[in-house]
Amino acid sequence: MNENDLRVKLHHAAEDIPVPALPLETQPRKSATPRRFVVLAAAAAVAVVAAGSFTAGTLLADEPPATVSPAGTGPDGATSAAAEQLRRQLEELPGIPFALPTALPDGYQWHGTDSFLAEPDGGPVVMRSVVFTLDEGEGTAHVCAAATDRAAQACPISPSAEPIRRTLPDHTLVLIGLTAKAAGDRSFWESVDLTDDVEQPWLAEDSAS
Amino acid sequence: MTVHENDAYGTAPGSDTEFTRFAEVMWPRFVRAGVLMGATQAEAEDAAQDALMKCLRSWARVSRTEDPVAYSVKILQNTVISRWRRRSASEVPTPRLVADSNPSDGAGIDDAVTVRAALTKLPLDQRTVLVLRYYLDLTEAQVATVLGVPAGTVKSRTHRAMRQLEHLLTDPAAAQSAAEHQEGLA
Repeated sequence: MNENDLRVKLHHAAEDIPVPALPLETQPRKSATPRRFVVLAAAAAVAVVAAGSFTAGTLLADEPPATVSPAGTGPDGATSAAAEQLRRQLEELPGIPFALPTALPDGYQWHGTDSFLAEPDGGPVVMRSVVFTLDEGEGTAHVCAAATDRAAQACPISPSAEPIRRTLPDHTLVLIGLTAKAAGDRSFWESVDLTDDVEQPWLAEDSAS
Repeated sequence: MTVHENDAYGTAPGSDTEFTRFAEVMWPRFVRAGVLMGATQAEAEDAAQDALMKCLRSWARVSRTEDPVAYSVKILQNTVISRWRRRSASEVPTPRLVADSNPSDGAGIDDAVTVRAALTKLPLDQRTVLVLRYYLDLTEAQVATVLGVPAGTVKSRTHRAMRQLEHLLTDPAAAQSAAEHQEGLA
């Protein structure tokens, strides 16, 4: 086992450890342990961490909506906070767009954005990934869009997880990694339409109502 | 992992916005690193929040004069270890053997659960150095700063830890033996 193998193993081992949204308010959190007060003012999730010759990072996991609406039933003209945040990330870290499903299987929720990889010296983002959780974190689905094979190697999905590999019409590679609990939905993820449109009904806050 | 120079954030050095962006990067990594180091989920979240809170309080200084990553990871690591020790002293350990995850079931030894179980079988100092070095991607120098040991110690400890983890992942019997040994020490 070399250093890279170990790095992959540890990142894979951490993949399904749930991460709640970064506390963003100044009020105590509702379902937290007693001393969970907070830290931060809300801001766009952007950050830059160097890794090798690329720039890589992990972006804020969004607070998921309370429930997920069926596809195609988004609120009229509503722009959800999550969609707005995705748009801000695309503006501040331009490059390959997100690959988002147009629908979610039953039991899945939007969890948030995960890793990105950008070319050096402020170059474009060549890999972005997002996470969906199944049954409140029992399972996860990572959806990773990559501009090239090399960029796809940085997707936070272990090759041992036998990710679904898809190629979009614009040649974007999409790797979809499912944890064991989510493996039963493999056929869904193999066929669901993918889009770069961030206005998805399952992202809309109002869709929960 | 090296945080870019301040101008990479596009914000004024030492500013709240700069800290916010730093925290947004570190929060998920800290929570997961805490769990990998042996904390419970709640402990890891609290430790991550502690680390970021303390970093925030000193951000103006830390962002100018220190390595914010090493500074905050040191707090995280100290918090996780102190809570882990407190818990270990008051709880009866429940073995979670690597063998339980059945490495031959097709998922292979790369299975996330197996790797996490094997990590728990490592001595605390070895587990910590692996998480810092290969999950949080700190440099040897940063790990040395976090642990307060010479860089040479980081190198040798990392080497031993890698060998031990490899052994545990390839030999479930060794994992069980290690688990029993650790329980004997507990």
